[in-house]
This record gives sequence, C-alpha cells and structure tokens, in this order.
Amino acid sequence: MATRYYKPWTPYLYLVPAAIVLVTFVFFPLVRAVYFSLTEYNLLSDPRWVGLSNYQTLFASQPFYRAFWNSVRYFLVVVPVLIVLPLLVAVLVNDRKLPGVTAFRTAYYFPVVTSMVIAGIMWRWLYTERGLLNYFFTSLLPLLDEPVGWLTDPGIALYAVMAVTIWKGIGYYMVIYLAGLQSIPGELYEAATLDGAGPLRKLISITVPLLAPSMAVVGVLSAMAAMKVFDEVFVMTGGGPFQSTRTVVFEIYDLAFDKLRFGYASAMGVVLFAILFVFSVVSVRFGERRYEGAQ
Amino acid sequence: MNHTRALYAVLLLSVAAVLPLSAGGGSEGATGDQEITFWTMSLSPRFDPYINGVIQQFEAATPGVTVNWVDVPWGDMETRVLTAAASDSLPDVINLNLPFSQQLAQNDLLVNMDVAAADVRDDYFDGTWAASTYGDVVFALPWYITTNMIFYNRALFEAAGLDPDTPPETFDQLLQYARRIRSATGAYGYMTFFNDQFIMEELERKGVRLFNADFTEARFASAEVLEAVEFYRTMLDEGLIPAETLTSQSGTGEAIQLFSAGELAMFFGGTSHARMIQENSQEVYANTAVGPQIIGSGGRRNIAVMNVAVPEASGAREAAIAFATFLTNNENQVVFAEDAGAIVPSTRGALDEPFFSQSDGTAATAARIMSAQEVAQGTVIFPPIQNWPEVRDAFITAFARAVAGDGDPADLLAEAQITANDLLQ
Repeated sequence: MATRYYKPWTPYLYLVPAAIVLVTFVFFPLVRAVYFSLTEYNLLSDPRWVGLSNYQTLFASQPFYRAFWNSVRYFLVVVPVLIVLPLLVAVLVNDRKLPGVTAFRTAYYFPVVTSMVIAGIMWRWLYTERGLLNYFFTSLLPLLDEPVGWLTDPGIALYAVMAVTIWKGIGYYMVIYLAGLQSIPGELYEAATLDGAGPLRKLISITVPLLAPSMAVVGVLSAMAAMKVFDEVFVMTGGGPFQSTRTVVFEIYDLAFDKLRFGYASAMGVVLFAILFVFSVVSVRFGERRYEGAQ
Repeated sequence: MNHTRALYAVLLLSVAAVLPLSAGGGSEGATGDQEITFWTMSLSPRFDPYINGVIQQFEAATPGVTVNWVDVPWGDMETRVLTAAASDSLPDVINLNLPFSQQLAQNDLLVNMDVAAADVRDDYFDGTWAASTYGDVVFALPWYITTNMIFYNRALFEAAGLDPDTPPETFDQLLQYARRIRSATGAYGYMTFFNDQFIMEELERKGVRLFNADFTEARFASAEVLEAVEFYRTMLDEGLIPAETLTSQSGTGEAIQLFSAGELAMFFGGTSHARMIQENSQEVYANTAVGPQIIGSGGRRNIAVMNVAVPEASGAREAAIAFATFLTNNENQVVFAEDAGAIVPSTRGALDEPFFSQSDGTAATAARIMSAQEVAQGTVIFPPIQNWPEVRDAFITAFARAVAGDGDPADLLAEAQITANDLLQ
C-alpha cells in the first residue's frame, strides 16, 4: 500500500540532486541575469530599474557589433576546421596495428588536458617578435623577410588565437570521432577493398557518411565553444591589439568585472544566450529531421 | 495531476536548497566576544609567520577580539570583494590595491580614516596618507609601498660603450641609449606597456598632462601627447622596443623575462622585481643595476600603495580600526619590510632604520634604498576618477593605435578625448 502511494514521487525524487545543481548554478543565475539586464547595477550599490535601456544602448553600440563580428568570425573559421581536422587525425590513429599509435593518440590529446593559461602563455612566447615561429619563418626557413606580428598585428591576431583553439580542440574531437569509428563494421571496408576502392574512396563513401552523427555532435559542441570563446583571448591578447580580438564573452567579462557595468553586461549575456538558444534549437531540429530522413 | 505536483515539489526543494546561500554572516559571537575577518592579497604562505605573529600580538593586547585571517590570491581578490559587497558579507579589514579600493570608496563603502584614525595620521608620510583619498574621505590606511625605478643591464651598457654607472636621466637620453644598445648588441633598448595605466603614468612622469588639474577634463589631443606618440613610434619603428609593448598582457612580467634573458637593456619596474630577476638568472642579476625613475620637465614622481581598509558595514568597526592601525604601525611595518626585503613602509619612522640606507652592493638592496628615498616625495598620480576604466581604455587604445600608425594620431586622440570627456561629465 505504502509502496503504491509513494510510487509517483520516486522518479522525481531521483531528479532532486541534479535539479538542485541546475537551479543553483544555471536557472537561478539565469533569471537573475535577466533581471539585472533591466537595471543599472555595479554590485556595490543597489540595482536601479532602467527597463530596456541597456538593450537600446547595446544595439546601438559599436563595440558590441565588433565583438559579435569577432565571435562570428571565430565560428566561421574554427568550426569547419574542427569538424574536418580531428576526423582526419582520428582516421590516422584508428589503426591499432600502427606502431606507436597509443603514443600518437596521447600526443594529440595532450593539449586538451593542458591548462589554457599555461598553453596560452606558451603560445604567446612562440608568437613574439623574436619567438620560435618567427625564427622558423625568417631564419630557419627564410620564407619571410620580416617577423610577423602574430599577436601585435590587428589583422592577424584573431586568427593566431583561433589557431590555439584549434590546436587545443583537435584531441578532444578526435576522441569523439574515434568512438564513432569503432562502431563502423569492418565488413564494409573489406567489401569496398574487394570492389577495388582506395583509402580516399573508403573515407568519402564509408567513413564520412557513417560518422555524420558524430560530425553533428562535433559541429554543435565546437560552435558553442567558438561563440563562447574567452580563455584564449583573455590569456593571449587581453582583447588587443587595439581591441581587435575582443569577443562577445570577453566583452561581457570586461564590462562586468573591469567596468563594473553588471546591468549592461547582463543584457549582453542575455542576447548571447538568446542567439545560442536559437542556434541549439535549430541544430537539434535539423539533426532530428535528418535522422528521420535517414530512417 | 500527481506528476505535476511532484514536479513542483522538486522545484521547490531545489529553490529551498538555494536560499540559505544568500544569507550573510555576522561578526559578533554569542558570548560578546568579537571576531574580525581580515583579508590579505597573496601574502600566504610566504608571510604566514609574520601575519600570524601580528595577529597573536594584537589578540594578546586586545582581549575579547579574535582575528580570522583569510588570504585571497591576487587574481581573485576583485571578484571576491565584489561578490562579498553584493551579498553584504565584506570582511572587517581588507588589504587592497589602490585602483580597486577606489571603486569601493566611490560607493561610500569604506570608513573615513581621517576621522576614525585621526590620532595616528602624523605617523604616515603625507603622500602615502593622502594616496587613498576620494573627495574629502581618506578611505584606507597606507600599508606597504613600492616605487618606480629604472632597471638596467650593466653588461649591455658596457657593450654599447655606455657608462654602466650612469643610467639615463631624461627620456631623450633613454632614446639615445636604446639606439646605441640596439645597434651594438641587438638587444632591445627599452620596454614599456600599453596596458592598464602604466603608459599613462609614464607620460605623466615625462611631464605630459593628460587631464586638467581636478581630473574632470581629458587633454588627450594636446601637442605634448602627439609629441609622445612620435617618441614611442620612433622607438617602435627602429626596433628599440619589442612590438609586444603594444599588447603586453602581464605588464612588467614580459619585460622581466626579456631582461632576465639578456635581451632587454632597460625597463621601469618596482622594488620587488630585483628578486624576480635574481630567480630567473643569476648572471643577469649580477649585472643588474637600478637608477631613479626618470622625471621629465613638470613630471610627477609616483608610488604604488597597498592599503588597508575597513568597510562601513563592519559589525566590529572599532576592533577592525584598531587592528588596521596596529597592522600598519611603524614597528610592524618595519618588521614586515625587513622580512619581505623588497617593500618600503608608509610610515615616517621606518626610514630611520639602517635597513633602508645600508647597501650590500646588490641590485635588491639598491632598489630598496632607492624606494625608501623616493617614498617621501612620491604621490599617486591618478586619484579616483569618474568612469576611470572606460576613460583609461579610451586613451590607451587610441594612443597604441597612434603609435602603431593605425590611423591619424591627431584624429584618434581627438576622438578618444571626446569619448573621455563624455565619460567625465
């Protein structure tokens, strides 16, 4: 009797721990952020209600559009590269008979477990005027007459930071692809070999189509990461040179914690959330439709 | 229906779990004894014995008061203080640097020491006492000080045919020395930083006035600033300063790295940087010398102040003020400076100690003696200024672009001046 009475509650009680974490660290801050976005607030004095004025300022703000364009550029470059490059690496290290394959897999994964601060400082040194990279291109392999301002030229800096994101992401997405590759039946490759298919044909006709779900996951994850990029920028350029590498999340951080404009920064956070939310919904719907089509 | 109610229950339980997080803390115990919380900035574990010793002495002299010391890493302090202020749980005594304590002071969150600690005012140098001023309020007691000085590599000076005992005394000399060093040794002559307010302080030392006397009007587009643009552009174009000067993130950190590698001849640093060079390279350290900060015509000599503030909201205000004054008194500051070796006290009496006048011939003691001599004349160049972070960024971005040739300097600086003046209104 007692068992029957408590039965409807049971599954929800199991949800309580996760719900507590989500409410505490996601939903509560989210609702607060929406509220703060409608106020003028510096954390040190009470918030003052200003309605939609932060949003009006935001949509008329040049720095916001610049940061948004930088995030979009990040997205446009980093996402395609992170869909393709880790796939190729995964295919290369998927051959278990290859001597030293574990060492290669570890090597590719190593940047993933390296702290972004350490990696960022290391790359900053590689990128300096007299760093290893410029030494390589100007002295060892004299392709260039003058050192490149990897992080000091506003036209190049954002791409130099993107390279670090890609370097750090390859290993992570490679593991996702490796898991997908394990699930492709070996018979398909054997049959293709009998039909006279070469490695490239097998990659295009078997591996890539069957890895489509993994590619979709990698696409969504890397897209989210690209739109939310912060650590690399913070450590390597601080948004410079001349504010040319400020992304939306960097802008939010700077406005909130340097300028103490929490209300305005919250408004920018809410706009970024809305963009990512729409993007996620579209991705999921698109994925579902493709899955249904495949069925 | 049951399911809906169950779902609400889950949400309610979850929200209930969050609520206690927003509750604040108190300072007074049930027995009437008081506990004060004291936050420091990155002093543990190096100074654990010293700070614990001061706390023990204070507790022995002040029965009924206990001090709960919490050390906060440098990079976390700002966030910790902001969140504590937002949740009404600021500690009773806080060690802060000037820019951040200014923000608290602008929001009337700190006790006015001119009133609360008037009896000890004369123990401190006028400049160090006045450093933490906003309007008519002295919002903190000065604690330890570092001053700015030029670090230079004697070996590179000798290699360039320069007298290693004579560092440059003017900015023009600095440029000439940098040229000779670059052409003779290939090393960078000089490095500065176009981030934070470092370059703005350097310009003020040079004699360039970036604001009117009461800091209510920006003067970024003046002939002096344009002249300064030319000065740094020449340095950049001739390769006398690293291109990273424009973008340096860690400020002096990058200069110390280059200097320790023997690739940089001169930079302006603080007292504690001698020790960092020593840790990086004994060889370069042996060749390191220091000279006074270069002050141009009409320039101002600056100091960096670490201070100790008591929030207005402290539940144990009197005990907190007593602890702050005890911590920063002459005796305790002298012991602290001797322990640290690279800082100078803000109290007048401290500088009579032989520790601040006797040299053992190393760069570290030379830096300390130089700081001690300058602290009495030093001042904080930028007082609390309205919308300072935005005003600062507007100038630095325009100035760096002008130096790098990314636009017409006059237009860039005029635009930054308009932005700054809007922010200063």
